[in-house]
Amino acid sequence: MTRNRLYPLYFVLPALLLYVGLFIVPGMIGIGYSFTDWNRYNADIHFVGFDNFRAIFTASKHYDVYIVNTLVFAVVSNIVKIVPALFLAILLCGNVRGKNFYRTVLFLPTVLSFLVVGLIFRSVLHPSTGLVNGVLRGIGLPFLAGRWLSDPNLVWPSIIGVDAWKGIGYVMTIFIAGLQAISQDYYDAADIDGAGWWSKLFNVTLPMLMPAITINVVFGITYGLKVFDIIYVLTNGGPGRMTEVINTAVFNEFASGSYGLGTALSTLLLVVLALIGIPLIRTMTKKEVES
Amino acid sequence: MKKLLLLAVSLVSLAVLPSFAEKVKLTQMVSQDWTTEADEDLAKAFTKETGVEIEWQVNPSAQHHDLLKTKLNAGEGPDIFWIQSNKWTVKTDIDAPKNCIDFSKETWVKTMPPAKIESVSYNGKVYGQGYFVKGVSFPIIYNKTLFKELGLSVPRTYVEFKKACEAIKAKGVVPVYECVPAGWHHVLWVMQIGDRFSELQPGIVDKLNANKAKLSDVMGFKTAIVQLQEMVKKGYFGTDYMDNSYDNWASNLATRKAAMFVQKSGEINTLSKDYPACKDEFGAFLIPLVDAQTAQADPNGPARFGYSKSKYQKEIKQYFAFLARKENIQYKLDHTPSMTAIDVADSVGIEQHYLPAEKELFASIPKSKGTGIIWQDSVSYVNDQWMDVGKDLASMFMGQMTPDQVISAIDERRAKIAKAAGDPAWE
Repeated sequence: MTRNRLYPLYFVLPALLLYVGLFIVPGMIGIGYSFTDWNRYNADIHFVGFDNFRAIFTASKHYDVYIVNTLVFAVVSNIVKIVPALFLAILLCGNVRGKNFYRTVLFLPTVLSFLVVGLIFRSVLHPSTGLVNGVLRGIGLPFLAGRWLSDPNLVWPSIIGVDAWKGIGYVMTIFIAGLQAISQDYYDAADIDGAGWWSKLFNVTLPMLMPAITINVVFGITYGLKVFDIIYVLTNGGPGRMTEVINTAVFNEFASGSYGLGTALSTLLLVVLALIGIPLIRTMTKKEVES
Repeated sequence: MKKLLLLAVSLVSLAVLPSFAEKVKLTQMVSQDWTTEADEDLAKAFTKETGVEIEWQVNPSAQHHDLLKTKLNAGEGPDIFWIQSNKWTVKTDIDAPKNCIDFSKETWVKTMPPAKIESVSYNGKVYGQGYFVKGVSFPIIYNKTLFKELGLSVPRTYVEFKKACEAIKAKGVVPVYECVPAGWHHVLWVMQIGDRFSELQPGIVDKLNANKAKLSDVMGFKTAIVQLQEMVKKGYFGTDYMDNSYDNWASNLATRKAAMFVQKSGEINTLSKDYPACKDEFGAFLIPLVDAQTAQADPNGPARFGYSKSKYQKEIKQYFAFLARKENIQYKLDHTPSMTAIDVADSVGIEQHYLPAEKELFASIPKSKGTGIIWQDSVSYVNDQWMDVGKDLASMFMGQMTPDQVISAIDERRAKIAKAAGDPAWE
């Protein structure tokens, strides 16, 4: 209702103008360039219609594989982060000695830059000199040692594992904030009704935590679909082109001077993000329970 | 009194202002690893001599090209900028006729050898200046002491090379250190021996550049790729080649974890300086895939250019002339540890510092073979797709692509780049 608004609508104009000027307009211009042959070799730019998009879906470069890799990473990495983060948050909201210390330790990887994480883990995961294989061999489990970043069967789990190590703390922190907002009265009432731990989880915690879950899922899916850093620093799309995703392909196209094709891939990513993100937000916000 | 004081201050300010306005600062944009402390020292010396300051803008190597291109397209290029220059990139990368100062009439042009002049020129006009490493481009550095212990001599054919690798492998040492994750290094094996392909098929380079032949028509090229694949399958790169880092090449050679590495011959200095505990002696020999025995030269490389829209063109020309002085070229060579020789015209009279291993390498090359140019400098639109070729070769190592598919992909990209560049041979 308009009577609930504290400030008039025109107060939002300065921020809106900045947002439109710095985000929307360049985005639209980028979409426009995706219909051209803009490249580093020729100063002239020509309209080519859907040629770039046709190239994405028909060229021998396997862009379709990159799109599938991106979608799979977005889904799997979120499950791997959100589920453990939820249980860690529940655990660290309970009566645990030193919980602030554990929260800090779990959150610390979030503040590290991707470059630092990539350099460290490329060393840690080296098959001969890396810490992981060294420990496995040292404790009598040499059969578990692997080529974590070059074995086709292990590279994706390794990337998702490193990504989860870096991101779980952030997801957990949002869940902790959500959990702390849930009134204890609901749990007391559930106890009186004889509800067990799992029953309280599904009937009290999860419904009340829907806003935090929405935030984590939406941010997580958005991050997953736009993933670039962790893949670039760990494998650069390798071995070969096995771990290429949409944004590493965009980067490669720009690096090789095919700016039109690069912006077409970015435009495609925008469409995928919109197609997945908008219904997801609508569905999840419907399920939010007003406290 | 106050008015007199104000007038005096104003007059002093007016007198001082012009001297501030005259201070010139030249911006110089370069990719990391292309310059050394010697270049910075020379810039400081230039400032001391002329009062003109040099402001370095150093970019990460993966971003340098795009950052430079963006600035040039926006009409805001730095006063001086560097690119990896060859006779094509001078036009395709920086559109030299539009963006670069014409240095054709400068006297220092003749300090560069003819092949280098060609790499910084377009349509007969000289636009750049480059003084880079001279010598055989990326031979194989090898552990001479280990070879002697195993009774091995320097391999001159692929068969001899395989025998040497088998003997080293049997000793429990990785024959060749390779670092595929670097993305560029493993491509050297097939591109550095380009002149061998011309030896086997005379005139093939002209045909490739005129679009009258494709790489799939070059017999030697496929042989090289097949041999590279065989080396991987036989374990000559060891088991960690898909995980190794480029930075660890010296420690692997110095500690005998590996016996050979494709590297600039001047880097033999690195082994002795950084690993004094290593008593092994190191030498160099040519990459013997397809039995190549021609010395491979790289006349191209990082070169600097002056921005044609800069308001300090006089100062830029002054700087370039300063760097071309004999004593300054000698300074650059003397103070760059990894550089044992600098590519300048013989008439300049530079005292080169070839290592004994390099002199031995030069002496071992059959005189009849002469010196050839590496493939990426003689065939158009190959250097532009270097990292893509690296990914395709890595896919081949993983069994995801065949040698024929790798070559087809290179041909396809050549055609795409040529058409984008408006090359009339591809119309």
